[in-house]
Amino acid sequence: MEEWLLSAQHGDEAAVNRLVTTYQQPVFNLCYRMLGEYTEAEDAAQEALIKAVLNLHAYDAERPFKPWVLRIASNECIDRIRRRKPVVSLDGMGEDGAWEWQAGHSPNPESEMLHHERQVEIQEMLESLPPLDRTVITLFYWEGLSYTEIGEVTGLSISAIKSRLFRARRVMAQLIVSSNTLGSNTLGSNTMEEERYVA
Amino acid sequence: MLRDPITDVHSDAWWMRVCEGALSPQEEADWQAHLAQCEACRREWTALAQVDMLLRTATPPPMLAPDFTAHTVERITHKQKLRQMLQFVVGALILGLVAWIGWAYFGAVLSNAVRALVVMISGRQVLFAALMRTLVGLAVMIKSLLPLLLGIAGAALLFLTPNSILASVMVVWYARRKRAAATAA
Repeated sequence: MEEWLLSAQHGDEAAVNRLVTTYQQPVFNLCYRMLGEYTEAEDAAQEALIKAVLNLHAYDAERPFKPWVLRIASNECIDRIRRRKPVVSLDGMGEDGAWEWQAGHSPNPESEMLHHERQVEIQEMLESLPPLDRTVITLFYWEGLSYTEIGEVTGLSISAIKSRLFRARRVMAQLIVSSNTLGSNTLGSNTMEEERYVA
Repeated sequence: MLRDPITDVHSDAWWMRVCEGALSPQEEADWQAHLAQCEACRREWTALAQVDMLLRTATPPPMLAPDFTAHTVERITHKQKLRQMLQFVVGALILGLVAWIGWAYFGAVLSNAVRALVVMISGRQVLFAALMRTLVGLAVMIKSLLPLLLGIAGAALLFLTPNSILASVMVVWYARRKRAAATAA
């Protein structure tokens, strides 16, 4: 184990600070993609980091640290998703409870609006997936982890990861197809048709 | 007749290979030809491409609040201290419990052992006190039997050494007679 991780384990505040600073953004990114809500993601990220530091004695120093800490974050998010009751996200909602689009900061409000709608669409697609598939998609697309590293986080084999990735994409594709059929496609044009998308 | 899942263009295995870009040039050509003919596959392939594009071009999540680090570190150090305190309390409780159980089961043995240890430590004092008591007792006893003892000693002396006593008596008688004769002259 690296020396500063050992120090963090023994309560050295500087080492703990270094650990949190290094891994807080990737952990938060994963939580945000998994949970889709800023405040809850922040809370989950904090809990995950606390658990990581308090359980450093269980970390295998032979393995990379980032997948280990992301695994804790992923488990925290999956637990929260399972416990979750249906709620309405308050992000972007005004004090009176009405949806409030914050104009004035963007030079191009229309593109900003389109961009926001796409993010909402992505989040809805993610939330249609089982939690573990959501983790795999998040780690593959936004954390840039290799199949091996995703395996470290999720405990899945490489073939299982590939299978889940494909299955998750297919579920999301079916959502797009159905939204196209209903004529409410906000996902952009078909210019990507025939595009080979995975290297 | 079963079709090979790897070369069956409608199987998951084929689609996974397509998504990974793992087709050979010949398979790629066959795939393109199939897409041109099959409306369902073309629609699904287009949708999959859209999904991939959406995911790759999604904007990154917002940045964390500036005080997130400090707040998290504070909570961690607080929990670490709490855990250390808890460990200490639990350790003390376990120690107390073990001592209590040990005393309940081995208390009598321990008590005897302690007593024996005390006796060993105070043994010298006890021996000294006993010796003194014996000596005092002997002295008292000797005082009350002294006349008898002296009588027994005199009798023993008379019985054991009669000649020396007789000689002494004769010497005393002769000395007195000589003195009486000198006085008369």
